[in-house]
Amino acid sequence: MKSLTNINPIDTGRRDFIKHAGTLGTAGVLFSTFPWLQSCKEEEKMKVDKQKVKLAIIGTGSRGQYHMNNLLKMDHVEVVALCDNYAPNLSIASAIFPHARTFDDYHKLLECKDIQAVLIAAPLFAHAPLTIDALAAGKHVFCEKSMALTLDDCLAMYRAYKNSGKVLYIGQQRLFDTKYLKAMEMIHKGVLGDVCGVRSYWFRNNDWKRPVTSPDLEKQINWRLYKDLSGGLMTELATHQLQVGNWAMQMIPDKIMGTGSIVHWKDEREVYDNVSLIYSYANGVTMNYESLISNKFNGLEEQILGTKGTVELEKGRYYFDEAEPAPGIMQLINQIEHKVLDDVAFAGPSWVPETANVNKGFLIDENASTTSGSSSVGAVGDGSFELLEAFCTSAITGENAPNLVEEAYYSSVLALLGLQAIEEQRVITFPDAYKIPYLNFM
Amino acid sequence: MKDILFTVKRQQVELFYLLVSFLVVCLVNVYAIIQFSTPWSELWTQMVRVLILTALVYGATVIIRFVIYITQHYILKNIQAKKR
Repeated sequence: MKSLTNINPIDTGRRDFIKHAGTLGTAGVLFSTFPWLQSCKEEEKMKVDKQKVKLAIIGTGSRGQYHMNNLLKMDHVEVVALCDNYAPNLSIASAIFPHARTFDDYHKLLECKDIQAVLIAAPLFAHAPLTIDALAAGKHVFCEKSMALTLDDCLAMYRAYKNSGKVLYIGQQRLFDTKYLKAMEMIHKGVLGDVCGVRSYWFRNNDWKRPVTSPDLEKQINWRLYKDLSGGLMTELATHQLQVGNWAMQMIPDKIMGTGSIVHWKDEREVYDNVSLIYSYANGVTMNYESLISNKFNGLEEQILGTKGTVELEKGRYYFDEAEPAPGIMQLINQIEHKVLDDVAFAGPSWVPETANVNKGFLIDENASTTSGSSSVGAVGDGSFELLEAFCTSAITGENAPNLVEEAYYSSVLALLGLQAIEEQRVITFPDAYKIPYLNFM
Repeated sequence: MKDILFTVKRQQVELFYLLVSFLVVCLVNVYAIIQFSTPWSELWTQMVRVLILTALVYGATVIIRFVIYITQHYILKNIQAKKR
């Protein structure tokens, strides 16, 4: 596993940035720019030497199992308990961690004094009660994104975290993905000019609906399809990408508008299968968001558009609008060639098509992994491992990851406000009641 | 078939032409760097292009010298034929 602290200084001049794109800034700059990486510091890792956090996992479905496989590779964690009210998933989890106690009621799990931390990979509607109860029980909490199903629950989670003094991590793994860190450093240093637009999209062609053995299980298994349990595309997919947009902008948008509908998957689902939204920032820049699950041609992407170039974060590539000038000797040869050949009369005036050249751009990180975005569970090398490892370190030291919850809070709230804009068919202004002190909302 | 004799003198002459070609192309590269304000590192980063151009320039000298040789040879042959 590549360490986030394996770093070298860079020069952000254009030529030198390209040459050194495989490295990150100096450690001091890195941790002040991305303060949530504190737990990745070597000295923090030294502090937890040979210590293990006793962790319980609540929610043992597909995402929970993805985390379990990552936990198996970590040194500073011992999974001591598992909890799920769906027995088949609990038995699969139990096979992965055979020594862990099993529960079907999380209240009983939270009563166990030996459990120091919980990982919540339950459905969205359960995030707020589980997190608030776990923090109240004195446990450190890792909760999957999105934070909660309602604005009030998001705020209640944030306040519970602030009042508890415990560690809270929300599963925004892109904050720990090396290629995102490098790209954001590049964006914030102005290598691509001023950010003048953000375009994000997530296209899939698959159905969220899973077969159920009994109608009683429909909502338990297919909770993503029902409005009282899920925000659909907005809370399942958009939250990740809205967070990336805010991260690049270093700002929270204050106006939201959008539309959504069910175009293809008319299977009695209640959540939209396509959405299109505009988030407007105070400086006039907009973040355009689009998602649908009946065509996968475009895949997923977050494009940060600068006045000098563009970053495509999922592909891990950046592109300059103006091509790098050719070497002097080639320019000289071209000049001579033009002087000789331009006077040669051809049949009629020459015509140069204006079709844009294909710009292959540059890789942000040669070793970074990319994903098609088609998996509903998670991808290898997307920052999830580093995020969870950082949480285990924080749970031992008791030191929080600064700004991590704030980043997650605003992406969750913006996803919900997007839903509200779609439902109410109007432009929503970010409500003061849900502003927490962070970035431009200080 | 007869053996082609590549004398030491001939080798020295050809090496001289090759060296001159290389120096000329290097000077052209320096001129291009100044003219187009490109980095001085192109003195070595563009070495492959300089070597390719050196080969082309040297090839051009070979052709020119061959043409001169053929022309001189033809003219001399004509003059000798007229004397006879």
